[in-house]
Amino acid sequence: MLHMELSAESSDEISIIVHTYSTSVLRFAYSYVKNRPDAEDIAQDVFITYMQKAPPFDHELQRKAWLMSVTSNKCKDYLKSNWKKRTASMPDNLGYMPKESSALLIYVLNLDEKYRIPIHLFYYEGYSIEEIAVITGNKPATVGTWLARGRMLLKTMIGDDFCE
Amino acid sequence: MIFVNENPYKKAMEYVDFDTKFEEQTIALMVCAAQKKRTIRQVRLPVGSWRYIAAAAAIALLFAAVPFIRGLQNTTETAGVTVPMVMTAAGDESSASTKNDPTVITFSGAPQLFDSINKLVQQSDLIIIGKVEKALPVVRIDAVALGLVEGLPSLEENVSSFQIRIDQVIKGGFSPGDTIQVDMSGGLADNIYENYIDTNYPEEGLTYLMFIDRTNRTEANQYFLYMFVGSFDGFSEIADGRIFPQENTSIFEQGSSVDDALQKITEAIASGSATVNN
Repeated sequence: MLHMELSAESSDEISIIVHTYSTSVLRFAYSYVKNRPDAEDIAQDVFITYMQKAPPFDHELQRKAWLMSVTSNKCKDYLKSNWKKRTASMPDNLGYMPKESSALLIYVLNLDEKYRIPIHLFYYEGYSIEEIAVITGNKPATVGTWLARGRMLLKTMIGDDFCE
Repeated sequence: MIFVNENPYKKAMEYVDFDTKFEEQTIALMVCAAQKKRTIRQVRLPVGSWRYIAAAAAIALLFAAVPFIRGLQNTTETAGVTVPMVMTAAGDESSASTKNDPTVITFSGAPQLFDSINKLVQQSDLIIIGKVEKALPVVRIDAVALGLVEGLPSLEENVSSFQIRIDQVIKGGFSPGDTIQVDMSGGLADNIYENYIDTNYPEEGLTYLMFIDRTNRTEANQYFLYMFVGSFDGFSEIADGRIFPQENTSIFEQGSSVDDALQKITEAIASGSATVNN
């Protein structure tokens, strides 16, 4: 009996996996699609895919990296889809947040995707440049460049209030 | 002051308020998908499992040949497909059987491979050289009823079991001459052939170097007390003092000396013990 059969099909383990990783998967998807309903739909799709295809993992870091990588791919597919191109997502209302937090989030979400995603993975998840490269399927040097440019753009947008 | 370092951005992201029922709904969907999984699994012929493809083809040919062997008597046509009539135990003609070809179910997923002998040794409770005395008949079991899987109403699966006579013990609490039963998922039973990511099976009469996991199951579970470790690294054929691992494995070189392999395994065991002791 393969590990994946046991780990993927026990309802207790399913609960543990969803409780453990839903925060990361949801927020990563949100950083791509910028609205909550779409992020939730994609995150659910990611977990269903895990149910159907997840390989056995030697340790939890691999499992998380796999989930993040699948999330990245699904978000890219979603953003490229014809359906998405023909519709306009409702901008997310962040009015319920403290002003400082919503302002920072809006600045980051307004960055181009190639700068926004490394910034999210670096600052929210604490991934290294090498790990971000694996998850997003890019070269580490490219990720490093995008991260630096993203910071610079934020500095330009935020002005003197920005510091690292 | 707005600044981007780890905490303010993380804090801002934490404020994003998702549906409170997201986890509950997702878990329900996943459990539902798990139940459907065994009935909607992708069906494709495995690559490299020629023995089983051949077996399936042979069985299909046998069924196809039945009408001709019977002189094309007792046949019927249903929805354009000619199938043999089946005689019941009471001697009455039953409705046409549709069990001509085995249903082939392939379980997809990335194989578990080892990149170092240390990891392989650490994960193995038992390392032996042994001979497959008997390949037991493949059976179709309900893994839930036997307590092997929890959380589902039922889960039918095929089990291929092998009776192994131990010739040499490298690791584990057995002695030469002991026999154990090692179980693997898959095989052909009840006209259903299940293939797990192109898994190979040991052959009766051959001798193998085996890496075996002693699971936490008990005799009451009947199956999967002992399993081969990993997807392909669990057993490697031994012949003429040389080792012949399965394809796609990298721990041992094809045709390398068994003595060298045993030396490496012994060193890995010692290395693991030293690590534990330290």
